Amino acid sequence: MGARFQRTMMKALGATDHVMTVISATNLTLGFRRIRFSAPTMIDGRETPTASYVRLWAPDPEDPAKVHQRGYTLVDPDAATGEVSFDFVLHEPMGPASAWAAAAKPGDTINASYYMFQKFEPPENPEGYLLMGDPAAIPAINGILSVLPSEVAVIVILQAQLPGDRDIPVTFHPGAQVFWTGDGTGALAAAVPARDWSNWYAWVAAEHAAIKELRATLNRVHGFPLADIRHTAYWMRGKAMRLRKETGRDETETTAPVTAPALPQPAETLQKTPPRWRSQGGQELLASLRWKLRAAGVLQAVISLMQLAPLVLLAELGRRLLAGEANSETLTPLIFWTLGLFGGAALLSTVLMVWLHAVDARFGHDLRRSVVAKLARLPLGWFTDRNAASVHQAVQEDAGRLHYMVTHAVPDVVAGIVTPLAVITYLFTVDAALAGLLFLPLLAFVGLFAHMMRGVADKLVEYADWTKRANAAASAFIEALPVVRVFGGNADAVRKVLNGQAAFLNGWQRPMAGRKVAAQLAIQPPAFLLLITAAGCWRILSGAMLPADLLPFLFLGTAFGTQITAVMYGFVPMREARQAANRIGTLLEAPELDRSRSLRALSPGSLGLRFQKVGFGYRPRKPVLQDIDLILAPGTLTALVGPSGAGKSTLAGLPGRFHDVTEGAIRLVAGETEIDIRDINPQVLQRTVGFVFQDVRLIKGTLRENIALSRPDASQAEIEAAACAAHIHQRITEAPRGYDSIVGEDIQLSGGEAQRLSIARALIADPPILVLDEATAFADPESEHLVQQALGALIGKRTVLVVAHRLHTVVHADRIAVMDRGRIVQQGTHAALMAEPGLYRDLWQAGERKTS
Amino acid sequence: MIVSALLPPEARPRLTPFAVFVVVAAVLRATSALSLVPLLGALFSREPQGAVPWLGLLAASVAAGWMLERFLVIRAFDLGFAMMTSMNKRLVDHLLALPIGWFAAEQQALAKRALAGAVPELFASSVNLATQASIALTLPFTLAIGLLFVAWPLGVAALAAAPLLLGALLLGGRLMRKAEADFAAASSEAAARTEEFARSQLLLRAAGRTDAEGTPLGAALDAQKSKGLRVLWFTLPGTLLFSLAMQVSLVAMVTVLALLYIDGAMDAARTVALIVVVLRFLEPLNTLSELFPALESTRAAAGRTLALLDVPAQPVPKQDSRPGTPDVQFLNVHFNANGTPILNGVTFTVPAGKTTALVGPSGSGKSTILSLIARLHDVSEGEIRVAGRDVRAYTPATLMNQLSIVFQNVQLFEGGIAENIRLARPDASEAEWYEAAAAAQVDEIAERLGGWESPVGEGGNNLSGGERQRVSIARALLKNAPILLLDEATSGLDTLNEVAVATALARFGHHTTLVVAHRIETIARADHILFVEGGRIVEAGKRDDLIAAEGRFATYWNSRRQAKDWALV
Repeated sequence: MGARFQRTMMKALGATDHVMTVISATNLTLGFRRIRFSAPTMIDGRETPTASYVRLWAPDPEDPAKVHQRGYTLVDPDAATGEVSFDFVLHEPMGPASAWAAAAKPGDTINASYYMFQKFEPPENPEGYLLMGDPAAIPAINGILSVLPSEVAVIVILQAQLPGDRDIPVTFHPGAQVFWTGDGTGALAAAVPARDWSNWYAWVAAEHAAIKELRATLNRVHGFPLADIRHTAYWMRGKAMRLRKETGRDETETTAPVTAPALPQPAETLQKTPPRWRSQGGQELLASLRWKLRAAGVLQAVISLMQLAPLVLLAELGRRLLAGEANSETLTPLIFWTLGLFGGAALLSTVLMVWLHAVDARFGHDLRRSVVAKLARLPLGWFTDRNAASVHQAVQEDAGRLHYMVTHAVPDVVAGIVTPLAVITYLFTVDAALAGLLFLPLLAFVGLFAHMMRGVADKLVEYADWTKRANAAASAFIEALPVVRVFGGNADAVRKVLNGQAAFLNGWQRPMAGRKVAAQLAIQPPAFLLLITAAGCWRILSGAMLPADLLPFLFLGTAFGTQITAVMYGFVPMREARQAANRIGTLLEAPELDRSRSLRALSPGSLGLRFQKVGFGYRPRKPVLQDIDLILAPGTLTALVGPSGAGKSTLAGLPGRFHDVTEGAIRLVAGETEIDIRDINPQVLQRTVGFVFQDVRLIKGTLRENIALSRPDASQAEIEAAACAAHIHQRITEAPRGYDSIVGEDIQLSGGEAQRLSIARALIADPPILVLDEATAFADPESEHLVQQALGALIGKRTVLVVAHRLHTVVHADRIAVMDRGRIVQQGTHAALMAEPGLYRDLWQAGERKTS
Repeated sequence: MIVSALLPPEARPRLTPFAVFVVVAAVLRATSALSLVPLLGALFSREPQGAVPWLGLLAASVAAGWMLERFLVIRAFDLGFAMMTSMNKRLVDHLLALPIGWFAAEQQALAKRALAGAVPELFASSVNLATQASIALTLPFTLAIGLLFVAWPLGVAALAAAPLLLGALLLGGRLMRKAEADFAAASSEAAARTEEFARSQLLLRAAGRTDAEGTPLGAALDAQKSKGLRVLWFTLPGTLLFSLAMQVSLVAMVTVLALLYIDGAMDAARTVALIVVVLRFLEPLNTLSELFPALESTRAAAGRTLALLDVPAQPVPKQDSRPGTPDVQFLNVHFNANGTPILNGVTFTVPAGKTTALVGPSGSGKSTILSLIARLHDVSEGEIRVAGRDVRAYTPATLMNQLSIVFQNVQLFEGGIAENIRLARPDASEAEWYEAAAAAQVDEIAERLGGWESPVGEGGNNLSGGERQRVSIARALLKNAPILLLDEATSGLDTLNEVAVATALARFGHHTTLVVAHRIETIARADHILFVEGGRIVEAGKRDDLIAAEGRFATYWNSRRQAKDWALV
């Protein structure tokens, strides 16, 4: 009965039902059976993400009128054939689903339903993955193991409910350690080893009670924030496994004492600081607001009540009028009270708004300041395109969502809860029977709404898909307009998508429009008015109610429905704000450049650079650079060459501490002394190692400011000398206000000109060591030779490391390092490298073959 | 009016009956509210049974209102659907007829938002908002008029209050919008500066500037904070105005009722019943204030969409012209873009069957010359002739049939590579298009991506700039029109791209060709050179003659040759 009700509710809330037919069944182990189904309505080309599961409705073995539901993970879904497998655990005594599976033969059918498949979406780059579950969870865990990148750390803890369970095949993953634990509700929770779980992500699936316990343990004992635990309960002991009881076995069966599996305990186990997750940053961010928002909520509740009070007074006034007690003496205080309450509410509401805006202004300001301060502390390598997008998201969209939450959403939600609650409480004291009837329209609304939502989950996915397609088609159409025009195209592609979207909306929404309006009409004032008057008349005529008691209902009760549904809309921005806070928190938690030992200054003089056994990787076990040994003697030019993806640019960024090396060291060589770059004050290091890249950044300001960025006190003569050497002086003097022209306003610089400006800037900064990206494709070929000459002037007598794209530009380099797949495979002069077989000679020959 | 402009002409007559039905629905709602007066009068009297017939009237008017409103929502759906389908077509047609020059980044975003965002939003509003909002707007007036018959002083007060309340709602809403827009602008500025700060980290750190203090960023952050507080002076009156107007109206009308009662003009039961009616009178205004943000956003979407349709399209001649010998002539052509002169009196001829190269510094107007020939823009002054006739005398199809064009920044359609090439001549045979693709070195791309049907990604972003240009060259080769316009890529050049350009120029050897040339090999292939600088042709002639003349081209040629053999040290 319970399961049947649940199934009806699922359907009411938009789930879809599917019939699956058994094709074949194989026993993977003695107690683990894989059944292949044909399910063409379910596996129809829609996305089936990793570890998606459906609810199967297994018939009760004894009472065919009953069904039991249980979650099963999709295994090998095949959109082409509409086939999918499910793995069943056949433990004795069997639950209904297992019993069905044990007896299943080709041709049998079973029902399955689902809302929509949820994606396996762990937070970005967790420290590791903790996957836990019972035998029923193994298919999902196998699915996850097969999609996790090979270099990540994984700990898998599985529960063997029977000894034979240990034979169930588990997908191999190179970074995974697999442990088994015994049976019992608390076994999984007890098996979590003690260690530093900071930034780990936990995925757990098992029996309902076991999950509850496991989640609590992970959260309270091991510190996992709930946001970093993804949990699924596939089944419930004592419900689907009801048969157990009938065989007489004790439900709270004896749990064998479980000892935590002997995991290698990492050194951090002796941690002094509590573990930390990136997701905690967001919660802490909101924590600073918490008491203020609570106070605002209380104040808003008071305001809401004050706004309702005059209506109560009006009802009282009506009562006195009807009783014939009304005269100026009794009416005047009521009117004054009404005015006073209105005025008081307006005043308090003003106070609340001023205060919330002040809180928000300070909070927003502090937030933006901390983001800016954070940006200044991150390693330079962090600033990729993708992370730049996360800055945009944080300071623009997410900050806006938090602003909305503080200034609007919190009062809205509080008012939305307090008002209907106060109204219904008051009305219950007036006449409980009539007040109870007010829930009728709400019930009708829920019923009609559920009717409208039938199967809608599927449609929502489709709708999101159409929106995405329409956006993409519109973008493609607009961007390709010149081409469309040239080929006389009629923009059929975009028309087709837009028409398809319209047809979809028509097919979906037209039948829904009528149902939607029916649901809405049920809770709008006319419905309540009719209900109150009709029921009121009936009760008054039958003598069950005083006529005057109808007044509070007429004054306060008609808007009850709209008030109560308004709350639902207030929660969406609240949830969005929480997610926004989490994203900002994650940004604020990004690992910073380690400055703990960076104290040393440098004495001026010529410098060299030495890479000693340098290794680097963004993640453990996935090195990007390995065993780099390279010496840049003072005043020499070293070129990095090699195929794209060899790691040239990553290597070139290391001397500026874009990232810190994960192995070995990079040292500055000044005469006899060598200093690790991590020991030098970062500001000093930035002045010592200069960078000139293809991608030129100009700041908003004058040309002079742009050139003298590193030395604002540089004299005009120095600035002009640098500009002359960089072949940009003439262009600047031609600009309307010379060196005082503002970039982007008075003067638009072409790509080549901006490049020369950046070279002038580097000349002023005058770093002893220079890292250069030899730009092959200059933004404008016409000024290519000027850029080349400027580069020549900049190189001068410096120690230079250049990332070379065209081999012939560096044939005279003092040293050429040939890189391939993160290693230096050859080193030497051009002549020496050409004399021996190897990558360098191959690259040259390949280049010549193409041009010939 | 806006609504009527959004609808296709054939759907416009359906608006009037819709409006009539809205008024009827409002009248029904007013009836149900006013029926409370006799109903409660009877109920509170000694003979409460007298209320039953009035209860019947109330029930009948509510039920009739439900049916009518349901009917109205479905009518609104029909109108909205007609709007959506016709508007999609109108927008696409109109965008196709606009001069390409109109599409700056900002306008592009506008057009995209209109197509994919505004139209679905307008449709959703017509289904979800239109009926409710128009009834809520009409109801206060119908109710006020009804009150005139029941208790005229109260009716007069209500008639006075209705416009006052709507005005306060509108003004308050406007003030709120303004405050929020100001705040959003300050926040965007702060965000833009923060993003700039993030992008310029390398630069700023090298310069030792990691503090926001005293920088444009610091100023923007502070401005954002003070704006956040100043916004209050708009927000406060915005929210207070409407609630104040509501309360003043309520108190005023209740006072009118109290006076009528004290005067003895009305009995207690009727007075109480009318207080209930007064509350019903205020209710639709609350509904409107809740719908206001959605209504405002719908209005803005409608405004944007209509503004897009108002941008003047390029005129197209009614009668087509017949092209003659395939040459191109510029006669004293001037062209301004947004008030900035780009071309200042350009005159030249590209003779039929010869290759002419446009050479010159970046920003001199070379690419503009090509786009004017394709009529992506119209000249500000002067005339361009293609195959003997003014480009404006041809229909777009005839003009384009004369031209094979390879642009600098090539956009591909999301789809397969083959599909992207075939569009140049959909009726070409398999052998023909494959031959063109191979000649343009596209087969190498297909191999890399894993087949001719492999997707090129959104806008072609699975391909490099150079590779996209190769696809474009393949299109030009396949189309094989009498005149080739080629804008050589400057960035992302690779060897195969150079081969493709060379092949195209060789294949079109006997066609009329105008090429914007950067590489000296390309310049060398031209029969004739036009040197462009500052929007003018400053030198023209054969390459050797120009080099011998030692003018601007000669300088340019020499510096290009030096750059080619350059080495770092």
